[in-house]
Amino acid sequence: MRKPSLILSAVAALSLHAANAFAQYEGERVIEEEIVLKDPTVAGGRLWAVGGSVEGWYVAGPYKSFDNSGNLVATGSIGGGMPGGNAFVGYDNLTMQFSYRGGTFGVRRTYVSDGRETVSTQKQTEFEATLRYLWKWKKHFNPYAIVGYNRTTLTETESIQTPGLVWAYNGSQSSGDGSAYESGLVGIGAVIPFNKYLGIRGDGRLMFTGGKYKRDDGRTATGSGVGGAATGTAYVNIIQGLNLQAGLKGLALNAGENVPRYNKIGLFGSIGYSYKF
Amino acid sequence: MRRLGKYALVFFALLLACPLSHAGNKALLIGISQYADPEINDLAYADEDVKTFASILQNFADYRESDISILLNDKATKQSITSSIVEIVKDSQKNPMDLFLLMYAGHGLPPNIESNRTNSFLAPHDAFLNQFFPEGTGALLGNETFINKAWLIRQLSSINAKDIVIILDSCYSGAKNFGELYAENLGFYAQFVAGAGGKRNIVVVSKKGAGGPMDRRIAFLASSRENQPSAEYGELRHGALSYTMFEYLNAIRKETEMGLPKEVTVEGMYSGISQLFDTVKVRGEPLSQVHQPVLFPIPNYDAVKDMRLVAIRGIKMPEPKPVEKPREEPPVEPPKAEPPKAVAAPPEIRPETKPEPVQPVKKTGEIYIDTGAEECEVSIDGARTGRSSNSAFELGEGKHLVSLYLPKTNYNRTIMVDVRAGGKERIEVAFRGNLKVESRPPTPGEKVPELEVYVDNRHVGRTPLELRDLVAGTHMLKVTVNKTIKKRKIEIRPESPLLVRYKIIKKPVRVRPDDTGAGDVTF
Repeated sequence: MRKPSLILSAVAALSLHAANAFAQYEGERVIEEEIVLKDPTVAGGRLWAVGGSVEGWYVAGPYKSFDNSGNLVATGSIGGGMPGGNAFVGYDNLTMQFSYRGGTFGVRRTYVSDGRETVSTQKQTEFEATLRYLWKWKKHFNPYAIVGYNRTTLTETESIQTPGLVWAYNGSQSSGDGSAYESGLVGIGAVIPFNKYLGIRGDGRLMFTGGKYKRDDGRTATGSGVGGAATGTAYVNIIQGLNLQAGLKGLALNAGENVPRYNKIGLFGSIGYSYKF
Repeated sequence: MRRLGKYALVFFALLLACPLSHAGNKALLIGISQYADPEINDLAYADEDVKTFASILQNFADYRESDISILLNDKATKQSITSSIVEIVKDSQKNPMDLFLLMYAGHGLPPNIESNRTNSFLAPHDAFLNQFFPEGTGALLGNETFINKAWLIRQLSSINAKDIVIILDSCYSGAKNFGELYAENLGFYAQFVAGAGGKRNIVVVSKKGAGGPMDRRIAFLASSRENQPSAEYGELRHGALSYTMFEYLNAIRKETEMGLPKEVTVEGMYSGISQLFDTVKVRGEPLSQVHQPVLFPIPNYDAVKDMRLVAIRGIKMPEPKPVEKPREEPPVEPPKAEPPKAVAAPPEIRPETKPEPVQPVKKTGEIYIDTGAEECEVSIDGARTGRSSNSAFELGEGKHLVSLYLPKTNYNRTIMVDVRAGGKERIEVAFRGNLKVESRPPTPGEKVPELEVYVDNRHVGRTPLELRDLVAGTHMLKVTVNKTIKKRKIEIRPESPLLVRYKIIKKPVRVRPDDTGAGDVTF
């Protein structure tokens, strides 16, 4: 009988042979595989977006005219709309937007002083370039700041409807004038999502305006003042990138005492699409 | 003249020193169980089948170690397979071979993928399924990560060997266009005639035009037809073709006298494995129900049928031979004084001694197979013993193939043991292997998150991780990170530690996970 030690050494030799017969062909095997992680920290600052929207502003209801001292001059009604559109390009939280709106409003006035009745047509155009920074702070609160430039023109032809009355300056029943307002604007606002699809948005802008006025008899005036605009909407993100809004918009054009002031408030709606890449 | 005599002596001495081998035989054996692409299923037995075949060639068919090249698993990349074949072609130009044997066990592609034809054929370790691209007009699909049929045929046609044997144990390996192209490359037509010459699945090849005689014979043996997948079975512990080959070779060994070589011909092998495909049943169905082996003989079956695949040595104890008893001679008596003369007595009639059969002494030895904590089912020379490891087995003197099967991880390991008469050996066989899992950033130095690692759904730790004693066989590896889950089958092998390296790639998200849609709101 073999001694255990001898058996063990024989075992070692034999088991070594059995175990390593193909050792030269084997060795360590390496498998490499990729794991792709979707990382918002990588993507966060690198989202480009382009898009645009069509919008409409509809104003209808009672109308009041004040002089530049704030005294009531006329009462009446107004009706009309300003459709428009915008195009924008965004990078991360910053969006540059260019807008154009143009429309006509019909105004009926009854002057307080003499009961004179007039009808007028206001043709209004607006070009605006704005830069928005959106802070995506919280799930339900995303404030934003706006700076930009706005140029609004408004021409009005007003006709006296009361027989026997004429405009004093031209002896005619018809009067025409035009105003141009150029503004630098700053504003703040917030997008408040209730969930991914529904939310509200609101902003207010101060418009530092310089204005020029010209009447059809050649009289001109200039001035400056601070006006403003405000918008408040409820929105629906219908699908990814497609946004529908409806709400109210108000505009106050103020270029000082020598240039006519106009204030309008009405229903506002827009539908826009942004494509991110 | 004396110097010449010295040289002659040295020459004969060298001849004697050489082992009994066929210097002109070369074998390239490729077995891939573990693939890099997680989309490609791992195979439990392909690598072990190739190792077993290599062991048979080396231990029972007199191949020298240097005659056999083996590429296993991650060593069988496209680069290493192609360069090995090119090297063999070059070598054969300088030193023509008697026989070149190529065996491949792994995955193969069908000739058509979603109605598009492909010339991509065999899958090396680093093949990737997602890299198909339309070639030419778009009707042909290419994949540069696979071994290409046309390339393989060009190489095989250039090998300078008298006989070439190609054994493909892979799905769709009997691809018509592979066989056709191979035959055409050598100046033949291949016709697929079912039951040609009374033999099933033997492709008829005929000479194309006039030409000289074929200077080589080729036997291309595929495990399945081009429209059939090939199977491997836990019940058989091998791929179907490998199993039937080993069974047939073991049967030959058992019926051949110990130590004597017996030639295994193409005809014998093909008939043997075909019969086994019909008779061996798994889950009540014969193997041939799923797929059938195919033989492409070039130039034709008659020329190839007697071609030797291997000469395999037997393990059968010699038959008892009748041995004559030595005749008993009458004792020689010392001379005596002459007796008085008398009438001579009649000669004594002895019954003639009949030769009696003598049972040769059976030389056996004992081996104790120690597999540690794992209990394996033991088969010896292809026959199941019905016993488990961690016990002793009495075996005849000589070399034996011992297969150890671990059912719980579907792992089969075959080792060769050399039993000495009267010897008692203890064989320790390792059934544990190493697994390392690590994560790596796309660029060095970048911090990557740790991966949670699970093996067979059990949490085993975080990367970097090394498990030193995982049971050999098939396991499911799962890693998770940031809600991303990656799963893959892994094959643990005792002699081949496995490192799975995950490269973490951070990609921008298209939509912020916390995106509330605020960015879509125009102003």
